[in-house]
Amino acid sequence: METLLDISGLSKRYGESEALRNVSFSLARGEIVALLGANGSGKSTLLHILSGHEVIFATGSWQGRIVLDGVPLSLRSPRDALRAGISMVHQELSLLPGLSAAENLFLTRERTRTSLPRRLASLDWVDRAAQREEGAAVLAELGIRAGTEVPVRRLSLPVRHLVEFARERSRGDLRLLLLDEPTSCLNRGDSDTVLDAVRTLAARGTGVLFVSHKISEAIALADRMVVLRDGDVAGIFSRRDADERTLVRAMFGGDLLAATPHASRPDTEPGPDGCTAIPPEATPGRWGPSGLRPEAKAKEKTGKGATIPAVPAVGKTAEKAPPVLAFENVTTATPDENLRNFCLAVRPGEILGVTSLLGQGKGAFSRFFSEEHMPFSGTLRLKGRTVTVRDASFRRHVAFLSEDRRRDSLLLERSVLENLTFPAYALAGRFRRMGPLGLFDRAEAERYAAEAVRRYGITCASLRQPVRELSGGNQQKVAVAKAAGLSPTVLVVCEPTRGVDLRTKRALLEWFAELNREEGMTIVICSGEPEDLVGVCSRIAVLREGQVRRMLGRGADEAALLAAMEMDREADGDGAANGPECGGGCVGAVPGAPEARR
Amino acid sequence: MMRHISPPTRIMLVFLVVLLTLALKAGIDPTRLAGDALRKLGMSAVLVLSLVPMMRAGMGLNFGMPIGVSAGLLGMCLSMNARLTGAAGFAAALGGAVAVGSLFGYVYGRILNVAKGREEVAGVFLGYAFLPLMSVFWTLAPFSNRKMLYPVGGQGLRPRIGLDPFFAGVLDKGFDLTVGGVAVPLGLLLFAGVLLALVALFYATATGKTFSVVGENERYARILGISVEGRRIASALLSTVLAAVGICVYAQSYGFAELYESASVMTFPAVCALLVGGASRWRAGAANALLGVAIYQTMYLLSTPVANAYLASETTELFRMVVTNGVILYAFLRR
Repeated sequence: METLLDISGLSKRYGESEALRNVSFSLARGEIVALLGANGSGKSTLLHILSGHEVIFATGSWQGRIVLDGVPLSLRSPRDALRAGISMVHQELSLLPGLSAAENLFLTRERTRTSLPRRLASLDWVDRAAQREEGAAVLAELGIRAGTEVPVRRLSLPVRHLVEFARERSRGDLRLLLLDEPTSCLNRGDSDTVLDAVRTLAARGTGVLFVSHKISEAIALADRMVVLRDGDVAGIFSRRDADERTLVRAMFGGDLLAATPHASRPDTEPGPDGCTAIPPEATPGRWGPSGLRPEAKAKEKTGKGATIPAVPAVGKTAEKAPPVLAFENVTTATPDENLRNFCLAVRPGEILGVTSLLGQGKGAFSRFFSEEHMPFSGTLRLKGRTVTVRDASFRRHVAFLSEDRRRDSLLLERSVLENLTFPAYALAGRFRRMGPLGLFDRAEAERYAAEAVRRYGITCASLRQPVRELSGGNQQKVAVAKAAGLSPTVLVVCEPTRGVDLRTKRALLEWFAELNREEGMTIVICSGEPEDLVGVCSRIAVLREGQVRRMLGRGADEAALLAAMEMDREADGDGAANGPECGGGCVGAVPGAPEARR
Repeated sequence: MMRHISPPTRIMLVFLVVLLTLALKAGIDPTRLAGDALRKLGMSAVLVLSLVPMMRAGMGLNFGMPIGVSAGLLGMCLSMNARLTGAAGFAAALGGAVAVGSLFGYVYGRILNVAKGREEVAGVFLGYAFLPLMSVFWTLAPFSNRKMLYPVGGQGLRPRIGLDPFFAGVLDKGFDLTVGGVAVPLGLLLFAGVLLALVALFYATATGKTFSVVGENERYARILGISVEGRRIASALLSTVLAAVGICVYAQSYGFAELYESASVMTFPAVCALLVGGASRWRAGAANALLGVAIYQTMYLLSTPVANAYLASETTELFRMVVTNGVILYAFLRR
């Protein structure tokens, strides 16, 4: 096959740390190559070099040779990359938030009316109608049919990802497409749409280099897989001789798949509605009869110390206990999806999964807790009390981690220490000294942070290192540890494993189970990834058209979950009948509260 | 060590050393210089400090400082109109300044919340738009103390009111102290120091830290349940009140209350001083205010005698303008 891209001896340093060391591989025309590796292995650096990202030259350029179609490239800016025919779909999106999806698609290559002579073509009128029409068609190919006219900042993150992908894919002069986690925030169905589009593009002769943490996806899509480990090429595998275990071994230097996936809550009998009941008392676990880890027991005993506080084990069945958080006929609209007469009861002490296909309600559910919270009708109850998301009491009891962790969950310029302790200090009254003044008790906070770093396995140079410098996986760990430090009654996490490697993913799911099991924390995981939910959650609510249409119990496997997500309209009728959360006349009822709340 | 010092601070420090050398070479009395430098530090510190709350809340440099300054002038005028003198007069002036500053600051904060993301430009124009309104007020307000009014006609306040009969130098002379021949205005320095310490202490508390987080990441703050709009209004209010108090401190030391358009001239030097103190456009603390005002005011103080000795005396003002505007421009270029 004809070589399109040839990389030889590529090295890159960021100050003292070496991000890439003598990396060499090639990519043929029309070939799809997956770039695999743990967080911090150098994948994003390589993509940044190829896309001419400013940060590369700002930090001292790179060494080696990059040849595209026989022409050596210097790639000093994104403009150089675009001129060479290289486009990139970023994990951190690069759309203009104030423009519509269609306008973003045609930015810098606007459709114009050909009324002026060719020399003056750049002054020609933009044909908005043609752009709208063509844009709608391009987006419809990826399943986006609603919200193409509103500013993209009002669209959900998955939809914005699809818009960015559509924009790069539709470039006429595209020779090499770089994809950074192209399906990280998409459901399997939506991921398949994108992957099909990638295959079509490759069939036309475009080379594709993509980064993914989903190994099965890489094996299914890529012709070859390049594995990076600590900046080196740890191996290059063809689809024929690659299996998941071989790749994981190359990525992590050990057989991670042999380890136990994660310690989940003690199993219980599913209830009549497909729900699992929480046992009346904590089941003996690996930390002894109480089910609490030693530190938690010590905390219980002494009432002080640097450990994360323990909450007594659940004393009554969740089924009998009133819901800790309840949505009753909640209706809210975001530009691309809605919640409609949404009913859901979150039981104390459970891990509840919430999922749907793109545009079917998962995004609206996630936004309900977020900064972009929209007015709603219906009732939201916290421990039986009617509340709104903006109430201080709600925020005190319900911690929320959005899918956009860099923007919503972290103070990037602040240190690991400050990120881990600030919410608990400012809002939960911890780490305070000097009585009423409530000054920051740095020593106590450092003890706590050191314990959290150890417990959550956060890799950082020191507690003073800015979070901005950590890898995506470690940033996610900091975000989770921060939320856990608040000891909330309910922890709502959205797409918790997006953009993190297999090892971190395992660790995160393990912690959710641990927080739930040992501290009695109620956890809601909102995710499009079946692996985040199956085996972790006591119940999984599957949303469609903004309502809970299926409630799966612990016994449900991945196939059952996927089937529930993909169910057709005929099945919806049954699903509604099965939906335990929507019983009692909720389904189809007109929202009770006429006025909108915030 | 030098790597951690911002370029404006470095340049100013070098310049300060050069000026100091030239001043001493020109035979200027160092003890008098030191005394004047301490007085300048106390005079301007609170005004510079008033910029900190808004910067902490992510509202940028407070170019709307004339609003706070006007509130302070109004407080002083109310005190003078009541013919209060000495410490009582100054205390009444501060009370009036805080009350009027709170009102102005609240409204100012509400307006800046509407202009979110463009606070600096909005502040400039609010400041400029506010001064003509205040000019009308100074002309028409029913003040009755003849010492404040135009001598001819008896209507409208004078542009420059002498504070000698009221509370001029009440802080400067309150606890005057001479150490090694240097006149130390202890009262003035203590007053400014207490305010600096209070502001620094406030931002070290849990509540104070939430203000900083609002400035750093609004979405993060909102998700944690922190009232972003409330914190921003409170920051604008605090900045305005501190500016009002700051002008009272400045005026009692200067000996005059300058009304009408004079309120506009306080902003740029204060902004420049804070930047010289190592603050960026979005991060500032009481320490930056203290360091900045010390360097900037001392440099300004030295430039006049040095220019008189070696150059034409007019060059001082030109030099000051170039430095002030240059430092502010640098802060914008750094973004």
